[in-house]
Amino acid sequence: MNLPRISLDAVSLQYPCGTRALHGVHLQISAGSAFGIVGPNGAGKSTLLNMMCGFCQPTTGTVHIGDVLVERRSLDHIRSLLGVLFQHADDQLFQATVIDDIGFGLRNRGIPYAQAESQAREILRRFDLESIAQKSPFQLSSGQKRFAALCGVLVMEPQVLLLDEPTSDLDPRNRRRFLDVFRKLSMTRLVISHDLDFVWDACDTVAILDKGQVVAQGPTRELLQNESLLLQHSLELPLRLQ
Amino acid sequence: MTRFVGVTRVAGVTRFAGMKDSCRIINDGASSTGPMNLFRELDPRTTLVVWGFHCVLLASISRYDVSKTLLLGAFPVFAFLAMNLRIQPFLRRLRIVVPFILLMVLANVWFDPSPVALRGIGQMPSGLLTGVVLASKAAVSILSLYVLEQTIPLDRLCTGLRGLRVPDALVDQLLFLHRYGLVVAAEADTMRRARDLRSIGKQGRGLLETTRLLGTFFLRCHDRSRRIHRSMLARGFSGSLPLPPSSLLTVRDFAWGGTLVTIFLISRWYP
Ligand SMILES: Nc1ncnc2c1ncn2[C@@H]1O[C@H](COP(=O)(O)OP(=O)(O)O)[C@@H](O)[C@H]1O
Ligand SMILES: [Mg+2]
Repeated sequence: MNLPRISLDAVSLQYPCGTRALHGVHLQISAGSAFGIVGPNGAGKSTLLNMMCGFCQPTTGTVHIGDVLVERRSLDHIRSLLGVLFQHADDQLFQATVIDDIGFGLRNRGIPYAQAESQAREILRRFDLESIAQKSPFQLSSGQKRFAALCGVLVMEPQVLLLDEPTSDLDPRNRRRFLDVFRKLSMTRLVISHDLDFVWDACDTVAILDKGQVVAQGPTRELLQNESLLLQHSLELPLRLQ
Repeated sequence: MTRFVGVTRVAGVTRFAGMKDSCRIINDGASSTGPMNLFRELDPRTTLVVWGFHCVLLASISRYDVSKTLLLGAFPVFAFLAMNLRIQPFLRRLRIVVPFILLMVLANVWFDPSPVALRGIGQMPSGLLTGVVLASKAAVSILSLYVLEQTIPLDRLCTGLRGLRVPDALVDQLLFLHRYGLVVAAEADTMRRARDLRSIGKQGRGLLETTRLLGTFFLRCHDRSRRIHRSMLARGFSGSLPLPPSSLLTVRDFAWGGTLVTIFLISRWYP
């Protein structure tokens, strides 16, 4: 399979209220790599992700997924390539049962109900989560919610995976499990996080975003060891290096 | 049912003390495991047709006819008992409308005091009689609506509606209303808890604070529903919610549907 790369070219974004969330962002995320974006709260990380999905348009500059320009006309195509795990798993699970929710995206693609359900069941089995299939998402722990949401995304076999703060509500054991799953994936992956330990383990390349600008970019193990750089941008060394 | 400190398990649903509101909605649909599952096994279209027929007949009963109202009312009562449903949710719903019903009865008595003769009872103001019929009709309607929503989960109900050629736009609205209803309830509950934890006694629970809270509540709901909508779009949602396909009606659907409708007709027009 020919995986797409992601390129952002001189992207700026200003919200209607006047907040300048991004300015002059250049990023190249190569095909099949795991790329991390770290930065303090309010740096513009979620905005960046929303823009890649076409939920907001850049004021200037362009975003490409593969060779396709992200714009209103290409949204359907773009969204068929992307899998997005949003910051709050609660926002992602809204069907009556987990199994229904996981089949949601498949059914939107026109896959028959029964087949969608069996695919959903299969992925739950792979994650060892068959026991929650018939539960309501309201009844799950936050770790289960996170994995259920992930199943709903992976079942659609996206070519690009975008993750917004994926570990923020996981306990150490689930975090490790999440990491194991993440490492086995092969699509182009973008992780937005301020869990630098996770990024350390998960990503090959990382960029630091602060006040809407990319202030540094490079191999994870080099960049995240640079304590003064991290401190300058309200970040701290990964715990394992402290 | 096992009891822990502050936590109750009811039919597989964990309820935490203070989390009543958002949990109640889940419970209502899941708590009834009665001996009779007939209504759950029938095709939703059959149930909807039977239910709609019942409503129309109930509405058509003359306002002086207590006995027929009660006779038709026997059906939801029977279904309620047969399915072993919980009574509290029904009473909660009834409580909301009781003031209006009482008001209606009083208005009837006030405007229509002329006496009517009743077999076996003697004379009574005809306003009271029509009032009682209205009140029983209201109670029966609420009960049968409650039984209906306990019988079929909303998704199946909507499949049924689609099967009956109700336009997609309406069915989707119903589904969305339900989804957002759950979200709104959860959001209200979180905010209520956040307030309660930080207010001492009556402090922080005044009208002004509550009004401010309401404003924030709407903003939060708006924000939340936007995030949900985005996550739906990201998974290829294109405006119409896919539902399980309708299956073919079986002999049992026709048999039970026919029987029930016949019973209703007889109750309505018996001599
Ligand atoms: N919908 C919005 N309208 C206006 N401003 C917003 C909106 N969403 C985010 N912002 C602002 O944009 C900036 C970046 O926010 P965000 O992308 O959410 O940051 P991060 O995810 O890195 O914490 C913040 O200053 C925030 O206040
Ligand atoms: Mg964010």
